[in-house]
Formats: sequence, structure tokens, C-alpha cells
Amino acid sequence: MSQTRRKEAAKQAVLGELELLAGDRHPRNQTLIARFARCTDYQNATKLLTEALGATGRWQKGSPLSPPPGWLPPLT
Amino acid sequence: MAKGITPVAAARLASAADLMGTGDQLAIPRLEGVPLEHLYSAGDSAFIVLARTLVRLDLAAPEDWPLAHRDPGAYVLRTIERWIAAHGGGAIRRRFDLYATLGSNLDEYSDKNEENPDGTQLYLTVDPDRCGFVVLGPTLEVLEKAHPRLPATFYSLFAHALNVWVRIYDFHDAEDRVTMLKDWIEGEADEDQYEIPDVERCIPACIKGHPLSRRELREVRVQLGETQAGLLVDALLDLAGISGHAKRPELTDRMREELCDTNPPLPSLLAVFVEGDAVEGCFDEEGQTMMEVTPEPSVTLPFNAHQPESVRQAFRTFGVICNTLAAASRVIDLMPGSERWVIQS
Repeated sequence: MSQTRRKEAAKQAVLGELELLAGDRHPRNQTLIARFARCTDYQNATKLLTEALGATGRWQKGSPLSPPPGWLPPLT
Repeated sequence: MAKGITPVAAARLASAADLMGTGDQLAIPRLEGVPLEHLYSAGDSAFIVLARTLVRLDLAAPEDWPLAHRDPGAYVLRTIERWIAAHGGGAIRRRFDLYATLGSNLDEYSDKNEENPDGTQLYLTVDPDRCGFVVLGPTLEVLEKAHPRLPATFYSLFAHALNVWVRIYDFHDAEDRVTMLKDWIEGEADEDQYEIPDVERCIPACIKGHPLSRRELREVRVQLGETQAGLLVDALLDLAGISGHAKRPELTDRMREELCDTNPPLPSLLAVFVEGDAVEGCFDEEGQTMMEVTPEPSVTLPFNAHQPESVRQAFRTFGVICNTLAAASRVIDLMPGSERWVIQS
């Protein structure tokens, strides 16, 4: 491939990624943490869940549920 | 790092040596499969639009994209850095301490600023961080020996070429300050108690003459040969030519509104005749209040990131500004005694 064509291909690749970013379709914006960082509903739900877990810990008679296999135990 | 120290561990606890890395290195603990860095884009639509336009115009280099970690903001800044380097960045840094800013508003405290600008109105501004310094006296003496009208011609062209883009603080500013001080104290009972800098006396007579025209200067240049004066005139003609390659953009109504409460731009260069003269004295005094109110940028290039021609024009003008500053640095490099005032070699 000639240098000019290689450069044009690199240019088109950058433009392609910028198009994805412009449309919020870039893979890096689709990760769990990226969606969490942008979604206030997600953040509020997490806060509620954290508070609920904290309240569970204060129940004297309650016993905590085991986390699903492969998950870390909840920390509050 | 911890050579010669015996690790001590309490029973059933891992010793520090088991937990810490060995050798002169710092290892960041990580969970397997969990990336150390997360990057996502939000609120940078102006950067995305500008990056796209810069790539289409071939002003941005595709090879910078991975180096900017695929971040549009970092990519645009890299492109500007590359542009400065290609237009004499190294030479500029020898004599000037300036910075460029890309933003969507000129008044950062305005309540009209958009939270997520779309790039239709962006500004590239240039401001000084510190003021460069040049002592003109020895240069004027060299030029006067070569031709009696060269000192006035030299300073007129040098100051004009730079003042188109950035502010020089020189004897004209000092004279204005003296006039203002005299107005302030006029009629006061203790008028004689004030010490007014004698700017008039520090201005060499040779600089007050009538400057040569460009045509006359070229004729004089032929007679100078490869002398110090000849080389100075070459560099000066180069500077004057480059400075005129672009026109300073007019302030729009919106820009005027945003800048209505600002101070004049900060000087990028202080030009004195002799170290510690009255011009320098005025500058030192005036410098104490220059930052009382936000200063206007030295130069403001407005553009619309959605319009390729607007972006091209702004970058072209920015290139001319950089080239002008680099040419001015080269002129200063040739001035006798200027080696003492290098900012960054």
C-alpha cells in the first residue's frame, strides 16, 4: 500500500472513531463504568442499594445473603 | 529501595517483603481482568467537531490520535502544539513566554457561558505568562554608525511588526504613563513632592528621526554587506514581511461585550534603551496594577469548528503569529548583549 493510501486509511480510521464519539456510539462509552459515570439514575439506584445494605447490617436478627458466585461480598 | 533491612513479620501475617515489590520499582496493585484506566467522553462535543474538521483539513496528524489516547480534547491540543512547533516554537520560547488557550468564551466568569458548547463559537487566544526583555541601546549605536536613519527605521519596523499581534511595552507607554501621572498631580498642593520618571531624557535622539521607507531600507542594505548592521536589517526585513502575511481579526460585537470589563493586554516584551532606565521604571510601577482586572488576551482568533474555512483561516493566522514571534526572536538574537535575556535556550 502506498504511503498516501496508508495515510488516507489512518485518516479515515480517526474520522470513523470521531463519528462514533459524536453519536455516543464509541465502544469506550459503552462500558459499565462509562454508563455509570453518565447516568444519574444508575448512580441514585446504587446509592439506594448501598444504604439498604447498610441498613441490613444493622438488623440484629437478620443474616446477610451470600453474594452470587463470582461476586465480591458487599461492602458498606 | 529497602536494601539491608530485615523484614519483620508478626505470626500469621505476611511480612512487608512478601507484600512489597523488590528492586527500584513501584508496582500498582491491580485485579486481574480489571482495566487500570477507564476513559469515556462526555461534554466534549466542541472538541469532537473541531477534531473532525482538523483531520479533514489535514491540519491534524492521524498518528497523534493514539498518542492522545483517542481523546478528542487531547488530540486537538496535540494538533495545536504540533502547529506551534512547525511555526518556530523553539525560537519563540527563546525570547517570549506565551501560552495559547482554546475556549468557547473570553470571560470565564460570565453567566452566559455554555456548559457544553457545540463548537460554533470557539476562540484561540494568545497571552503572555511573563514579559520578555530587550535592551535596545547597543543595537541602536551599531545601526547609527552604519546609517543615521537606521535606528529609527529599525525600531519603527520592529515595534510595528510585533505590535500587530502582541503588546510591546516601550517608551510610548512610558510617555503615556508620565502624562497620566502629571494629570493626576496637577494642581495638588504638594505637586513638587512627586518624583516623575524622566522618560524624555532616556530616549536616544537617533530614534526620533524619520524612518526610511522599505525601498530606501533595501537600498541601504545593499551598502552594508555582511556587517552586523546588515544582518540585523536582513532579520528585520524578514520580520516585517512575515508579520504582514495575515490581518488581525476584528473584534465582533459579542467579543466586545465579553471583553468590556477587561484591562489592556499584558505586554509580551519590554523594550528599554538601557537597563534600569525610566522606561523600565514606568513598567515596574505600572506592572503592579496590570493584573487588578482580568487582562484582554493579546490576540483573539474566533472561529466556528463546524466551518472548515473558518478553522483553516484561524490556524493560518495563528501560524503567522507564531512565525512573526519566531522572526522577532531571531532579530533579538542578533542584538548585541541580548544573550543575557534568553528565557529558554
